[in-house]
Amino acid sequence: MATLSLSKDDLPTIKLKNEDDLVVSPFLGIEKGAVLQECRIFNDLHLKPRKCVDALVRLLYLVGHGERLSSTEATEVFFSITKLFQSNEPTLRRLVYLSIKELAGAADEVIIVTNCLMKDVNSREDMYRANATRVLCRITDSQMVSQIERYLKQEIVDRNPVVASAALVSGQHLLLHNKGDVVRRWISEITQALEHPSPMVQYHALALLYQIRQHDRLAVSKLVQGLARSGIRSAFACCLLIRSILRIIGETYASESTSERRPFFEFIESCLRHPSDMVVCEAARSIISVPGISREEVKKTVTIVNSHLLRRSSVVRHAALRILNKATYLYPNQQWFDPFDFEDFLHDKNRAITTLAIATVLRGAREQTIEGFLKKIQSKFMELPDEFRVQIVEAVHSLVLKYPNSYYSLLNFLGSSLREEGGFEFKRAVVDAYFSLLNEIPQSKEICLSHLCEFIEDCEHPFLSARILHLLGQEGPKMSQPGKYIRYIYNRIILENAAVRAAAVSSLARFLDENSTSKTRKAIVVLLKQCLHDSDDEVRDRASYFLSQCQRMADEENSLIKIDEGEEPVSSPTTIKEFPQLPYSLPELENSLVDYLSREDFNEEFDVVNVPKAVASLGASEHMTTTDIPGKTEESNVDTDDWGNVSLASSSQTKEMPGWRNANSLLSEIEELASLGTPLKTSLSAELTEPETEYNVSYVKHTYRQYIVLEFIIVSTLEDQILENVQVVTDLSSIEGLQLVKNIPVSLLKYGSPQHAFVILQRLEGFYPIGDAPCEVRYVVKEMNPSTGEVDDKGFDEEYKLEDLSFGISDYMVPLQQTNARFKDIWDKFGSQNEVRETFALSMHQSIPSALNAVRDFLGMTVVEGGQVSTYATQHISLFGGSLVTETDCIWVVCYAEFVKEPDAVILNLTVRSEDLNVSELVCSAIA
Amino acid sequence: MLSSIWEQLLSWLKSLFFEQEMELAVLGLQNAGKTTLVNLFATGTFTEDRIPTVGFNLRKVRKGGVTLKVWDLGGQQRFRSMWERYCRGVNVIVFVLDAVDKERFSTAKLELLEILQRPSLANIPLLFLANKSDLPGALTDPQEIIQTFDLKSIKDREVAVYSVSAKNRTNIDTVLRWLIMHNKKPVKLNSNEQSNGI
Repeated sequence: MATLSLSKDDLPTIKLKNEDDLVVSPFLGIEKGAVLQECRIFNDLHLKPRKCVDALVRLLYLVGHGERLSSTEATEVFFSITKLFQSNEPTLRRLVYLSIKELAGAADEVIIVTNCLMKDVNSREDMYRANATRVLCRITDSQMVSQIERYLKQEIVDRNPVVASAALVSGQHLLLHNKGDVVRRWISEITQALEHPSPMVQYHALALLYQIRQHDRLAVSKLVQGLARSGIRSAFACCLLIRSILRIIGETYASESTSERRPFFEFIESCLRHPSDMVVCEAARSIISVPGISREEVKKTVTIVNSHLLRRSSVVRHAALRILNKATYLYPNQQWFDPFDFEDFLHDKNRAITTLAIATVLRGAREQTIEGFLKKIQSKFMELPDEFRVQIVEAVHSLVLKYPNSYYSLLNFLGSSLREEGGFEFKRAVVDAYFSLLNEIPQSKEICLSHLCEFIEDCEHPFLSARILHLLGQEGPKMSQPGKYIRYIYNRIILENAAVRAAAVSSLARFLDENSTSKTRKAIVVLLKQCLHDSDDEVRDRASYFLSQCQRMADEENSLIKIDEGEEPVSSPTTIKEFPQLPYSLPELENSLVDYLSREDFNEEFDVVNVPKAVASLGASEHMTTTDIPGKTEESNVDTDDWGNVSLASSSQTKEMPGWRNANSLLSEIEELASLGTPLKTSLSAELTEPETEYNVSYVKHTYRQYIVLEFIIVSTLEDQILENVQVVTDLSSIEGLQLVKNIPVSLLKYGSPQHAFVILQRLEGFYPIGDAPCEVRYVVKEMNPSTGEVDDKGFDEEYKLEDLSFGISDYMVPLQQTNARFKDIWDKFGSQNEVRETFALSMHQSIPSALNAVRDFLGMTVVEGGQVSTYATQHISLFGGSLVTETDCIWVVCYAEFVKEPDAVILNLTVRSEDLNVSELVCSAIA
Repeated sequence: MLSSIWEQLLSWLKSLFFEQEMELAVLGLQNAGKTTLVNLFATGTFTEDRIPTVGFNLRKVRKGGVTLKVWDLGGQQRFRSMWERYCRGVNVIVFVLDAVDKERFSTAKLELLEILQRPSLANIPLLFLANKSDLPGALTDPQEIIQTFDLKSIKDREVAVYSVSAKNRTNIDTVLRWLIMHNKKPVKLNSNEQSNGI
């Protein structure tokens, strides 16, 4: 670095802005083209080192700032740089090293400098030797590595620490990039380097040794044992050792086989008295995460950590706080410190520390102390920047969930923070917290809504306003005084922009349900009528739509009352609540409309009956998974979440989705698939191979009306071959009702780049094939030289066995997005004549939640009600809804599931109703 | 600023009076003895049994008031495509042949003609050295060499052929003298000069 800054100062372009002493960057306005042009001077017969240095600095600046050089550009400039090896100027040589490292990825044939670098590795200058070693490992490939191996081996035991470290670190790079199995043969040299007087070398040697042996538990234990006994000089190495011990302890704990439960634990404990703060923190952090540690031990550790809270270094204080935060998170029922000791931290210069301190105290606070503490932090809270406030809001949020009874004071805190100045992210975090609390703590609804109403009165984010208005429309009518909210909503119609006004109109219309009094109805109709004169189309459209619905509803009700006067009208078939939810799947409706318009044959009317009815949206089930597993996540994401907030990690189900998010776009790109339309449903991806095998294959199923498309993602992990004509062949003989239509292979599969192959299957009419089908990949394999890219022309046919594909009822079931009220209607409508009842013992499951999730996934349905249940529940009732795909339409299926927990199984009483008795039977029989 | 002007002035003066520089590119198939020859030029001593050159070597040799900058290029297959990059702008291209390894004569010929037909290397004189003349069975007769490698067909540049031995230092001084004579940028020549090895 020193040389870099030196050369910058020498640049003629440096400018001082008059007396301000404001240095304008010497790199201001430099361009790739000009710099590449400048680099041609490297080819001159008479080299001018100083000019070359300038040019290289500029080049490095460009590359360092993300400028992309094309492969030709990089190669061209790389080769001219190789000519700079003729100069022995140390500054220039150093820049040459740096440039080669930067260009190694983009340029071709970088191997050409091997000889020059080897000469430097063998030179007498230590600076050359160390740097050249690092560069050499970057440019070398798996073939060349054997030629440079012996130099590296020598350097590892070199007396100069810089040289030894360079060789050790290079060894790590070689291993990481799969270039050098040779590294594994250096064990004796590396072990020797462990004894090196320089702590740095010891650290690097340990890291490399661990990297080589990490998969061999016994070897790691031996290594740790030796070092723990002989002691370590390097603090970094010590931390590394603590981490590997923690891993060993974790593995021992999991295997439960050995007699010694906590190997080497004494070493970690002894590190608590290490002179280096870093080691102490690392040891403390490890001790509290040791599985099965006793409370006394944690307490002892926390006492030591507490003493570090008063250190002068912000880093140490922050590290100590993080450990306390983690302790609070792992052992929530214990208070690890007195919140009033933390007042000092509120005034800490470092805001990150302040925030972390507040979050920690909030997490561990006792119910009685919350209120006082919130008052204390209120003023400090306002001074913090948004991203820190978001953290605190999230901490408050999880605190409310923990102590639902003290929601009042916590909501007040949130309410006042809503009134504060703040950016969008901050406000959104607060609003999110409100939304979640509203659902979690029903008794807080009233206050939440009033806070939110107040907020939208003066909210500068239309997005948030619209969300809140929607919520008001949903919840407002159910509250004791709906009229109150109508006023707030109508204010928006007068004051806001079009998007918010439109949302407000929809929200207003939701108040027109069966429970509303005729007085409010009249009032709303008046308000809606005023909106007919709005300047915006959307607002007017919505207003007139709702007005007409309202009219229809009134007519029907009148007629109902006329017919069965005296009797209570059975829930009227068309309440306005339903109308915003069309009984059609929107994408399909859109497709049909587009199709109709493109045909340009307008003699025939567009008939909405032809549009398949089904609500194919995964949205509902996604929502379920994010809320129904808070108990489970608590232990699993300990390491990832430093703040320890309940950022409820969604279950594996939603986590897998992003990888396939582009699936639909890919489907529409391939002609054969595009002609099938859009899939009604896409399953979750499933692996067909074990991890760490030659090829990785996973697949998803796309369900269409008559077809099932299997999409395979295939990744090859073999660097030295390419695969051609890769196709997945399935044997469908054991499954009745499925026919192969087309197999779309991958024409070329290269190392590391995932490719998609498809299999289109047709479902014969009336069949819902269920079962497993064996399958394998077939391909032509060709040898390839990974460094030159030369491909052997001769190929061989080969096949690779995959795990079986499985088809289940969930592949033909689309989750239903319907409200609870709707469920009852459907249930009653189908009646008992289409009902099938069955009892199952689910012996695989020990708790109701796991059984519930399994049934839901198995059936592919939505949990309409009863999605959340405690792990310890002994009885539970859930309602499921879904629609079975048929050739032309969808058949709704609804299930009433009763779970009873028995000692060794979960008993499921399932009642299925649908439009068709056969379908009910099908669903029931699928479970068996 | 000042120092860089100084530097430029100095190097200009140097080039005027006492230093003349020339660049050579030494190529040929692997194990032809390129690195050994270059070492001999540089140090005047013969050292056998070198490891193959991975990439290139750079040597600076001072001979008779001329500094020779020698790019000694690796002869393995994978480096041959890169020869051209280092031949651009040199004063002389030196092609070294293993005169004993008759099996690979055809490969050598192919590679030589391939590199010479590059437009960027037009007119650069070629010095063809048949090395290892000390070994039995070596091809040493220049006429025969010219015929085998069809050197007469090269019309657009000056070509010189010597049979040399790095080990016995046969013809090495002659070659150096020839090289030093060519320290000017090439002029277009049509005549073929041939010298005879003793």
